[in-house]
Formats: sequence, structure tokens, C-alpha cells
Amino acid sequence: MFNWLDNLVRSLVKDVFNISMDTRLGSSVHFFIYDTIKILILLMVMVFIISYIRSYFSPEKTKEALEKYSGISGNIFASLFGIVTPFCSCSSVPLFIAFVEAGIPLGVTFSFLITSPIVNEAAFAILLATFGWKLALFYVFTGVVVGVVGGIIIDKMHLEDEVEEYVYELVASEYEEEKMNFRDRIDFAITNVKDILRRIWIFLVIGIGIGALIHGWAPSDVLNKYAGRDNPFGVIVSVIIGIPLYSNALGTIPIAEVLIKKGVGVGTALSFMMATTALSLPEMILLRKVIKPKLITRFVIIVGVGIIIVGYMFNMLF
Amino acid sequence: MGIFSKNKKSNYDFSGKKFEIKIFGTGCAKCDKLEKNVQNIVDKYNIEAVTEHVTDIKEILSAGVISTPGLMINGKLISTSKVLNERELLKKLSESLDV
Repeated sequence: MFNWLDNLVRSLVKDVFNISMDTRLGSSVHFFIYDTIKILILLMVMVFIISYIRSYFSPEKTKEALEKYSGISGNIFASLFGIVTPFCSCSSVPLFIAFVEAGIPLGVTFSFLITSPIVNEAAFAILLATFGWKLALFYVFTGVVVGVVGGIIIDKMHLEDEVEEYVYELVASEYEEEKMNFRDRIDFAITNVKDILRRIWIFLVIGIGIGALIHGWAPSDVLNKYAGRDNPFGVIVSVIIGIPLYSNALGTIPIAEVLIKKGVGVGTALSFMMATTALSLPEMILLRKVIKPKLITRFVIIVGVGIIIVGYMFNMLF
Repeated sequence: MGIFSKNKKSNYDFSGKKFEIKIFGTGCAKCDKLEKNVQNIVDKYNIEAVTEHVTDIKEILSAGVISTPGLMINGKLISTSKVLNERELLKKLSESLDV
């Protein structure tokens, strides 16, 4: 899809900068320019399309829909809605309370809260740009599986008393949303594209920069030894590193791309990414307002283990 | 802000009207941005308004806000999960007068 860009950047490096493509410098410069443009284009296009689709959904509608399902189908629908519902993690607390207040089971609520951040539009777009359709879709699929299974386990643990008491006492009032027209939806999508770009561009450029350096200079054999798919601890370590980082760590995907080319496992890179989005420290701190430490700990352990399993699975499959 | 919006002069007249504007948010970046946008139009168009940023989670929910930021004008919840821009805010303010 991007052959034209590849050739354009090649001739730019060769004829304008006068650097041979066979040198380390040449291939690093090519990587930096080519990846920056390619990722930015795909990011803008994909986030626009996904945001447009998402404008048909809202946390309010999702809440209403989920009230109708019980049991495992509730978990499955909660995860699927988690993909398409526009939702910023800063709204976790009011959303959590509203779900619980509406009588949606705790496990179903968590299925939503787990999948929603994992399958975010920026992560999907960048994965698509760097690894292609197959991996990006498989990422979405596993994000749903982790959400569904995680939610079911939380449900089975019967941790309802680990929710702060006041949550059950709150009464949320209903809000009738206004209808959006075509122009509102386009505006919504554009605002979202701008918002995401503003938030992550600098991390993306730094990530691609580091990726370019590794691309030209890092020794494959060393990387392979410490983070290759044969190292059993690679995935676990990458998840632990990922937790305190926030979604800005999406900028690390271009680094992951290079590392994978150098022999680092695909699963190792993906579980790092899932950990940065699903298990972010800031969100834990927010959720602490509504749930007690015991449930937060279980949540982190369940999701963490799920992501680690996914990592090993990816390492075996790809 | 959007590609379709034009920078035409506002033809809204808010003189003599009073507004009570509440922004519901848990202190996230989007909520602060909405508060700033509201403050900007209040200053720019000399709108007589009392603005308040509600951060108490109980109040936020009892207003019906699930996804922040929420915007309430004269006791009516106008929008949620959205950072309204100048054009949209002016429209909402003038619509609230029609009721």
C-alpha cells in the first residue's frame, strides 16, 4: 500500500541527502522519514473512520443495552461494546457507578472496563501501520477474549462487597441524549483525530527516532538472547514494565516493530502494549475511588496474567 | 473548530440574560478544556453567567453524567463526554433561552 512512499523516501535519501541506502545512516534516515509519514497517515485515517463509527454509540446507550443481558452473553456484549463505545478512561468512575447502579453485574462491568482501553483506536491504527491487518485484527480479538474471561472470573469471585458502599447508594438520573447529524459526526471524528494526534505525536516521533537508531545499530544477536521468543521471561518483564506507563507509550510500537525484525517476539511487544493501555497506574488510582484495594489487586492480577498468556500465544503463533 | 465552521460574526444577543452554567468533571484534561471554553465565551461576549466546575462524584451522577465532561445550562443537562467549542456553546446558550 505504501510502495510509492517507500520509493519516494528512498530517492530522497539517495539523491537529495546523498546518503547511500546501504549504509547504516542511510537505512536509519529512511526508516525515520518513511515510518513517521506512514504511521501518521494511517493514524489519521483509521482514527477518523473508527471515531465516525463510534459516534453512533455512547456510554449511555451501552449501559441501556447491557441491562438486557445476563450471564456470559453479558460479558461478551460488554467487551464488544467496549470496542465501539467512545470512552475516556477519566470517565471510568462515573461509568462504573452508573453500571453498578443500573444493576449490571460486576463481572460484566469489568469486561467493558478491560476491553475498552485495550482495543483503542490509536493502538489499532499504529498496529495496522506497522504490522498489517492480520495482527491488528488478532489484537482486537484477544482484547475481547481477555475482557470476557477476566469479567467472568471476577464475577465468579463474588467481590460485590469490595465495591465502596456509597456506590450502591448513589442514584444516577437518566439523560436523554440529543441526536447527532452527519456534520456533528464528522466534527466528532475530526476532534478525536486532533485530540489523539496532539496527545501522542511527540511520543510517536521519539519512538520512531529510537526505532531508527536500533534499526541501524542494535546488534540482533544480543536482543535475541534477552528478549527473543525463546526467553521465557520476556513477556512477563514487558508486562511489568508496561503497567506504570500510560497510553502515550503507544510511541513504543515503532520501537517494537524494529525489535521484532531483530528477533524479539511479537507477543512480547504486544503484551507490553496491552499492559500500558489496560493496566495504567492513573486508571487504578481513579478506580480506587469506587473499589477497594482487594478488588483492584485481583483486577490487576487477572488482567496481567491474561495479557501474559496472550503474549506467549502470539509468540508461538507468529 | 471543525472544518465546516466559519468565522462569521456572532449574531447572538445575550444582553440582559442570566445564565447558570455548570461543568461536571472529575478533573480530567477534557473537563478543564470545556471549562476554559465556557470562560472564554463568557468573557468574549460579556455574558452574565455564574459558572461552576462540579467535581463531586455524587453530584456528577445525580445530574445524569456518565461520561465526563458534562455541561449544564440553567439546570438542564445539555451534553456529555464532549468538549464543546465556541460555536456550539453559543448555540446551546441561545437554545436554552427559547425554552
